[in-house]
Amino acid sequence: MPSAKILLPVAVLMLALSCAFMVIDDPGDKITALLTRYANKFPQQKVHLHLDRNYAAAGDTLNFKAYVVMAENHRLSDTSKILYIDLLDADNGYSTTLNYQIEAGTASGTIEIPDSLKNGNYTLRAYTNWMKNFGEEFFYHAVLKVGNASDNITVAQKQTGNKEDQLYFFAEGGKLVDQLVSVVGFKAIDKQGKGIAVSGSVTDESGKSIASFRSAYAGMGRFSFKPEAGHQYSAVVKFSNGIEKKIPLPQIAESGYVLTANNEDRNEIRATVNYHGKAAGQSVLLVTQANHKVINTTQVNLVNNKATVALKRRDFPTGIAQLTLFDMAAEPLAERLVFINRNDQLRLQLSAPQTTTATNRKLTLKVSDALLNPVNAKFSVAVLDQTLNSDSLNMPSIMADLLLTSDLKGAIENPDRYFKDRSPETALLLDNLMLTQGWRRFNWKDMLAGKDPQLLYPAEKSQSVSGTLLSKKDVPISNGKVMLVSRSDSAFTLNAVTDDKGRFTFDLPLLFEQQLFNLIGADDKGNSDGKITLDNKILAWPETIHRLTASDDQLKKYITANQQLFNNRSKQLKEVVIKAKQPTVTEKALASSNNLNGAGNADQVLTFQDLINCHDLEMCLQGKLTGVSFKSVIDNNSNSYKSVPFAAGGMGKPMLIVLDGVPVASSFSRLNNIPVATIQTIEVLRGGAKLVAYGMQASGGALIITTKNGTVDYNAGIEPLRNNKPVPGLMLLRYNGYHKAREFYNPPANAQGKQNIRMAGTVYWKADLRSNDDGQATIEFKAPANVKKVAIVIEGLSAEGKTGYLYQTQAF
Amino acid sequence: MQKPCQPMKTILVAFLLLMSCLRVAAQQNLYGRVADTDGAPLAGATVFISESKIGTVTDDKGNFVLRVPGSGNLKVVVSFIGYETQMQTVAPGMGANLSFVMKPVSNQLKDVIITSRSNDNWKRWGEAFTAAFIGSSEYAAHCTIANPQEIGFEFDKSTQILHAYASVPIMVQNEDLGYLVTIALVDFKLYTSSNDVDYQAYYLFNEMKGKGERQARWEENRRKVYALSLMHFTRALYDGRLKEEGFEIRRFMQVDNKEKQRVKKIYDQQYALHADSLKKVSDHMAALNKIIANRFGKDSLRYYKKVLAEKDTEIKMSELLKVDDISEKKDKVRALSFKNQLQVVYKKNKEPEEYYKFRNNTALSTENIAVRTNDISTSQLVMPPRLNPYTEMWLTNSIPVNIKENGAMDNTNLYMSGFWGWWEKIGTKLPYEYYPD
Repeated sequence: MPSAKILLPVAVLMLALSCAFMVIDDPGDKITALLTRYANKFPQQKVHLHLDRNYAAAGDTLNFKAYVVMAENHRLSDTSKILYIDLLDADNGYSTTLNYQIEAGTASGTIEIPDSLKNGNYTLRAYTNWMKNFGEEFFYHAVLKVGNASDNITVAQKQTGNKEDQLYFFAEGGKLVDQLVSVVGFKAIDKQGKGIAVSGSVTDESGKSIASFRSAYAGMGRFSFKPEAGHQYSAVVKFSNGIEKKIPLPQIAESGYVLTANNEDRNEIRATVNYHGKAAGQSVLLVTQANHKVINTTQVNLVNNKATVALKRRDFPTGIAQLTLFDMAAEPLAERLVFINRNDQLRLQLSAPQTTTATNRKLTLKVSDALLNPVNAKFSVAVLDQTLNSDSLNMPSIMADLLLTSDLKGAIENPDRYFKDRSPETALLLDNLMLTQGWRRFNWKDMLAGKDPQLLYPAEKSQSVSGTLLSKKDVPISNGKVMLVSRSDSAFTLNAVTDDKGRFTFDLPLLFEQQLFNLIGADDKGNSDGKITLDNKILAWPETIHRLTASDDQLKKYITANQQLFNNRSKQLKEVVIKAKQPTVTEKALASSNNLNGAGNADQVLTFQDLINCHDLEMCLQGKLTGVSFKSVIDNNSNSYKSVPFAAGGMGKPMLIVLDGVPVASSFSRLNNIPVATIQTIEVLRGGAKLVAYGMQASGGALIITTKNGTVDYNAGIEPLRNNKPVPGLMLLRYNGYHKAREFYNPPANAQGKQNIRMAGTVYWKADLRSNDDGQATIEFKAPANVKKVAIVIEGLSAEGKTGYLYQTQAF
Repeated sequence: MQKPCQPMKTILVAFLLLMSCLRVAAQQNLYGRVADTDGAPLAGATVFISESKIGTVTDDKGNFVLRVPGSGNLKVVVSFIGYETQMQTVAPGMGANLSFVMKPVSNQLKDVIITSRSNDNWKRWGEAFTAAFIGSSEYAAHCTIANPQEIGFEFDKSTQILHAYASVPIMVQNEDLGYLVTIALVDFKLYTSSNDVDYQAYYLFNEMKGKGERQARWEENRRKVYALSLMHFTRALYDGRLKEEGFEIRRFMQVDNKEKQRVKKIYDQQYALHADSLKKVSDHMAALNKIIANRFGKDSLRYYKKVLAEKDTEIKMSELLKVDDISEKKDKVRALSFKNQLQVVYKKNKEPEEYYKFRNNTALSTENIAVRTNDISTSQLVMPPRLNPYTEMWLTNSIPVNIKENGAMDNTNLYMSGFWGWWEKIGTKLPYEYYPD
């Protein structure tokens, strides 16, 4: 810096100023500046899903709660409003995308598994538009095992590219250097990519044994030895399946730096730099960072080619810390990851269950921080029937996901193993993992060159439709007018003017489910012979990441346990098949009805097709039901009028509403409480023998409402788009609004009557449990008498970004 | 001492010179020798760094070696039966060879202890001493003093001050936190009339050996105690993490009564307007009030009279203060310096049950006498809510207090009343090595 050189001698007072000028010369400051710039420009998001199960039968519904956080502090992020969830099976070419509304960093909803789905390991991935800028590696991934009762239950294991078992070596810090004792981490994987136990020894070219090793967990382990240049080292490996192999070790460099980290002390991490070479080692720079924030930069001056730096553990947040060694020209030399557990996540405690009635269970959750202070935080709760299954669910917890796996390359097997306890053994297993799995958030080369990832996908603040208006000759029309007309019942029109590239964007109001739009485009003179192209929002990327799959046992037991139900369903379907070769949509829709008289045995049947373009159920039904009149009554819950159906000849008693097989208490019963879009069929029982099955409470007639469960193609009844012949300047668009969730029906504690016939599996699901200021929350659920054992899984996040996780089994 | 806005009785705790900056960067050995005034070596004397877990005993030749952290001033304490406790401050890199010359305790002190023992003074004063020294928290309730017979008491009737003496270290076993605390008591005064306490002592912590559930319980309790501790606050202050750690600081301020000034102005204006007529009457004020009632209405007059009866200034709380408003960090020390009085509130938890009772009983006995005389039993009173623990603190003579990275403070100029005055006792004391992670 010539300017600095001139200024320096001028006055001592200018020293401070000249220091500022010298920033560019200092490699530590340069790296810090680059990292800070990157962190500010590309704030990273992470998504974690709490799924109630990771196995399902075709036709099932899964519940989820999504936590969308900023990577820097794990606080809920409000920058994106749309969450995408893909269900994919590359082998079968199946792919579907659902979108959900993110509110204050969380989203919750249901994922319906179509019952046409074949057996398989499906990938479930979740992301926001912004996350697409950084690639699929950063998405949330889970493997969903789907079994179809009519298919063979065994799910084929997915094959990786690997033809045989593999063993990989990772020298600590990155490379092996002549004469420097080094730790070598290794990882052995089988054909499916799962860790496999190995043992073996390291020999030089003459066959002399130098070191021996044995994997400790998930095919991972470590050994140390002193490499010497000029030797060819290889490992003779024996895999646990008996296969033996000889695998060469990485080359030995003649000179260089080796960075090692000792993470065993409770207070500090000792980073040691060793150098070997002809000349003496130069000073180097150790940069430590966590969550994209530089924690410190230390100039390391070597004495006798060696130096140790003590890093205070307390300076780091819980999570992965990245230690990188640079030369003074800011070129990276070596890197080491260490996991720092400050033991500061939320503590969850569950009281013993109280039995309030024969089947009713009540538990109290107590939430506290690391200092045992009460914490007010958001949670999701799943209670699963484990009567037949004893295996744990093997889904990564929010803690393991956000703090560990989301920042590491590749799949991590059973990540919660590393948080099981605070023993030195567990710490060593975790450190083995750190040695063998790389950091993935950015690559130094691009970062130091100032090469940014391309930002193609903005963070979405609302649902939108965007595209380009082109002339007949494909020239963009600037200053053109584009109008969006909603053809659905929430009628609205939006106008936009195209920019100089012919581009337009419509920010849409809150819309659910599928919507039909007309897009009409014209240039500024009103000529509408151009055409509209829309930005393709669907992620067409193939599934590139292979995820580990769980065992089939869970799914097998589940399907077996529910065989009765699956058989019933198949039988119902079969009966329909006998009647008519091609079952109608109505017949298909009715197949899942719980009508005690038999599905479809009713005075009148309405299906979802009759309810298209219907938003107000009470209003809709008034025009559609025969022999039923509606009376306006004050609804005590909402203090407004509600329309109550009365069947002709119902002797003045209102009709009973039966939702998915459960009679709804009359105080709760308001038809408009049931979202129209969730309804699959409505069966009307006006009188006579059909009411007997429902008893006295149905003396005024009954409406049997069955909600959607993915058994039918809900788009089948919608008029086909007549876009075979493109109309100039006009486009028909079928837009997928937010996916409307089917409410998980948790029967109230005092619910009477017949239990809902539900697939065993999830006994209880609550997506929005909050602990109060005293850190307490109450969980109350009904466990049917045949449920002898449950697993309770609670996940959550505090406002400060601390994760909470609890997995507990409970026998009744 | 000027103490504005004191809602209740205060307990003053002078905070000791805590100089064990325990950065783990480098360790060094401190060598030294302990001898009596004749130069004869004293074997078996306890040598330790105050408020830490670092301690040893002298060998046959009176020599000792202490392995200590390499930086920061250290308070090296020597305590031995029958001798006065000695303390030396050791600066980093200094004092590789320390020399302690121990003076025997005076015969007068010995007499006090012997007399005290024969009179069974522990029976009379033990409870008051324990409450003031060990505390009244739930943790204090599970502390035992192993050698109470070594503590002597002397009560001065004229000043109402209770003095306590010990010629040997006091040994306290804290069953809730898992520490054996060796305490060299230098000075102890309890002002029985006001319940204020003033003492000086040095502490050595030894971890008790425990396994499984017992150890887990200690660790849990240490976390709970740490959350509410002054050490937690001083560390949060040092790190500039007040908000994250849950502390809120406000300043007590004297502010002008603006409304009174406004009303005064109205009166002045009206007086000026009607000066001529007012001069003719003897009771200016009554006449002026009449004019104001005519001009602004009777309701306004009533209000103005009320405002004028108020004080010219009132005590108010400032907005939330930031770390840099009250302190400055340089060279691994944060200097805490402020005017008036600060209020520190811990927002993450409620005050402990015992303190809540203590606080409200104190308030009842001093301020709510009227309620009591009306003969309403306490059970009939609507109990006030449990609050977040709060403490008022002020500096004597405006001398700044230096806070080290581990939260230790370097002098006794910080006084406090309120929660920490009650809480910061042996029963809830943690060594400066303690960190909750």
